[in-house]
Amino acid sequence: MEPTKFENHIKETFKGSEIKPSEDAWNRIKGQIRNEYEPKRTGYFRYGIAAGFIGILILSVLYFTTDDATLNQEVQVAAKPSTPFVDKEKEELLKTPAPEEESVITAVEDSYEADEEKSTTVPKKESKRELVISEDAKLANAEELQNNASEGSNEEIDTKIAEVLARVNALEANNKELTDLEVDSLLRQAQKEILAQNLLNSDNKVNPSTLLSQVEEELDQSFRDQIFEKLRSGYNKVRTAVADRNN
Amino acid sequence: MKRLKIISFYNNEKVLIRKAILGHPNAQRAIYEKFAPKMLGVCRQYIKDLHYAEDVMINGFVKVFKSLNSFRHEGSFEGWIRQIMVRESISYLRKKQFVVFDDDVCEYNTPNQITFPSSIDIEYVQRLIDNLPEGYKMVFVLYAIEGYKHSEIAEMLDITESTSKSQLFKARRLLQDKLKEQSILGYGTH
Repeated sequence: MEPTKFENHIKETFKGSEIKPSEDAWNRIKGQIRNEYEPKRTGYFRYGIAAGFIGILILSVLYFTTDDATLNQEVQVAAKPSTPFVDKEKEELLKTPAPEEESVITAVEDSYEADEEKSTTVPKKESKRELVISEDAKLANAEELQNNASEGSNEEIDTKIAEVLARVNALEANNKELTDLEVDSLLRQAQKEILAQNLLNSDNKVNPSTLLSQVEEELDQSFRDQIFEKLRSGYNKVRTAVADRNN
Repeated sequence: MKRLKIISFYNNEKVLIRKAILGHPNAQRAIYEKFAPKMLGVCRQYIKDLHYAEDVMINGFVKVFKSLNSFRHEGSFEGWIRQIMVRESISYLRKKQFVVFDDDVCEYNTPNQITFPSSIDIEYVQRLIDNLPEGYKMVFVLYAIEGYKHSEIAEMLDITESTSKSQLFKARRLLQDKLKEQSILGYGTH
């Protein structure tokens, strides 16, 4: 069936037929095309957000884990120099320093106290729960040790006071005039011995938890001061009692 | 010289299409401006209401821009767009209207020669086509104006080839009768 003349005529009529679309037509097309392109962009945007979130997560994990490590290092570093420093201090005291050196010693003590404060404030910076729990455990352990020590130390203090008195009397018997600093150094030595004694258990076995808390205890200035004060007051009492009796 | 001009135009169209694929709004707009009036004319041949025809044309252009990647530059770009518009129009008619293709057996006699006015008004012919039943109209436009074969029409409309031929025959007869009436009334006899 071939196209007829009539059909060819109609075809020719419609060949160049054009109708102008309305002004709004392109905007409608544009809007639909844009909608087609936008989901792809939002897809990339979502991927970007997800990647950013993962990045922040990784960074935060790294930050907190490295913070733990550095904190542990800081605690270790703070704990290590305490013993040689105390030994050095003891040596300096035993040398009976001149009055000018006294200020240096107090300055050193101040710096030592400052160091101790610094080292004790390090755990306060820690915000992680685990570390807080372990710190609490350590503190509890130290407190327990302190209580045990204070119970047993009263007797030890008395004996140490007696020892110190005996040494002072011996030195005075040799016509040596003792200064307050020398007496203090003797008392500090006695204090050290009491502390060392307290570190060991009644069975003379070294407990790992005790060793762990040793650092804490060494840093506990108040406890040390407490023993020192007790020694000093006991010594003074005995001295005054002896003096009164002699008079 | 003529050949160079053709190559230049071809290259320009290629560049335009490539830019439109990349999402350049100006390239897309240029394609639209170039082909929209012709394509609205195509859609209007199938759809009586101009507003609906424009809606179909808009959907057709959206499809053109979305599937621009699939254009292989094997045929003409205009032909490719036109094909999309025709399919979109048929799809619209089949969705919105109840299209019936009656399968009555017809004698495919060559219709009587119709005397046709030489300066025929396009609006008049369009009105004649608009008044045809949808099934007749689709086959007639596809065959007579777009130049599709019956086998292609059968595939496009999901009908048999004989149905397509039958629809065309009936459309011709109806148009012939209408033109006879008009010529009696005095329109365009030659």
